[in-house]
Amino acid sequence: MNRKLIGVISVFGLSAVIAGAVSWLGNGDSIESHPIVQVAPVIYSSFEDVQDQHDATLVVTVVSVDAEYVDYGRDGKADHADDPGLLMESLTVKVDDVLKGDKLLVGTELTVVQSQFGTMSEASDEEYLVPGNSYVIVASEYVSNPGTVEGKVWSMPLAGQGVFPIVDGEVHPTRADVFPETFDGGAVALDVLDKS
Amino acid sequence: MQKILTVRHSLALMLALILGCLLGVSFSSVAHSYTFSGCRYDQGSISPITYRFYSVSSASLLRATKHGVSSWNNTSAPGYFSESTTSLDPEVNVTDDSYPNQNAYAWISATCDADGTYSGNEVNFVWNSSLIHTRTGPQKDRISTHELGHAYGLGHVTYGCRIMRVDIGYLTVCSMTTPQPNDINGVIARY
Repeated sequence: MNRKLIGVISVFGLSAVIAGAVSWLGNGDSIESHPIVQVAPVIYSSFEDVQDQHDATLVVTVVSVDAEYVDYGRDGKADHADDPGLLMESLTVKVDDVLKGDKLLVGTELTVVQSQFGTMSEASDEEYLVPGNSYVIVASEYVSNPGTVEGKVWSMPLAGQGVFPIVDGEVHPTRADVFPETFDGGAVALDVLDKS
Repeated sequence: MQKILTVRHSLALMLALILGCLLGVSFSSVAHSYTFSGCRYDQGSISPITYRFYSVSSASLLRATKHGVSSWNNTSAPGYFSESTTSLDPEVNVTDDSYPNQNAYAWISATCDADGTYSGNEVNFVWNSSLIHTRTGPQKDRISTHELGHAYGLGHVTYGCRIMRVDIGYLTVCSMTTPQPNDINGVIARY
């Protein structure tokens, strides 16, 4: 009987150790060598809030990635010898519809900028604009920093708050916890977001 | 009779296996009430972690950065931060500049080598002067402490009153400006 008990306890203990180790190792570091950016993003209280604090909510299709560049900020200069700046890329998007904002943008092409790592480390892969794909974006227009892209550019807030992929006509949040009162963790029809 | 015993043995073993797995995963989850970012300093290079201001002109950002430094230095987290005004290659390069199209108050950037440590053992701590002026003094303090937590190698958490909350920049339900026990445990586990 004792032998049986010891056997059961041994299996119990061994499986606990193995499961714990596997779970712990699963959270380990990547072995890839890569740039990383960790941010303190601006967080908005709701989908209405993020829209109110940006210039437009647009339905866009990404046409192309046009340029990769380093943004050293408003002065356009590196601050120290090892300053990597922010690795950015500019894209051309075609405006298919305007859900909120200037309707004259429909049919035009805009220059959108994003970090080369999506919207930085907050991003899931889906949050990264990819040519050929369609998205709802909440964005504002800015004069770009010196030494980057000529003229004005559009950019989106971080942390899944400004990029929403459109798949099969439905708008998806890239994170389950973003704006739950609007998305409730799932996709919504495009009409639901149309306040125009 | 022997067959019944065998069935019982099998059931007991399966039950033990399932409970064991649940226990193991549960302990593992408790241990991860903090998260790790993709990279950290080399273990031999955190006593001290030197930092230097480059181009930071705002008194409030200088003060907030030093708040973050002292708040980590006053914990039991391994290593400590130390200001250097002459080091040619500090481990934290603190700058501020204007990035109006980056929707963040501050960030840490670095290159992570294949061994999981920072390339050159250094990171860049960037204050975004386009946005940080909208934050109060205590909010700047907590953002500074948060970014230095990233420098240590911590990632974001999404709940609880912890300095590594992803929404640290606007958080109103918690008032901390210093690392909390889970944050400190994260650094201890990291090194």
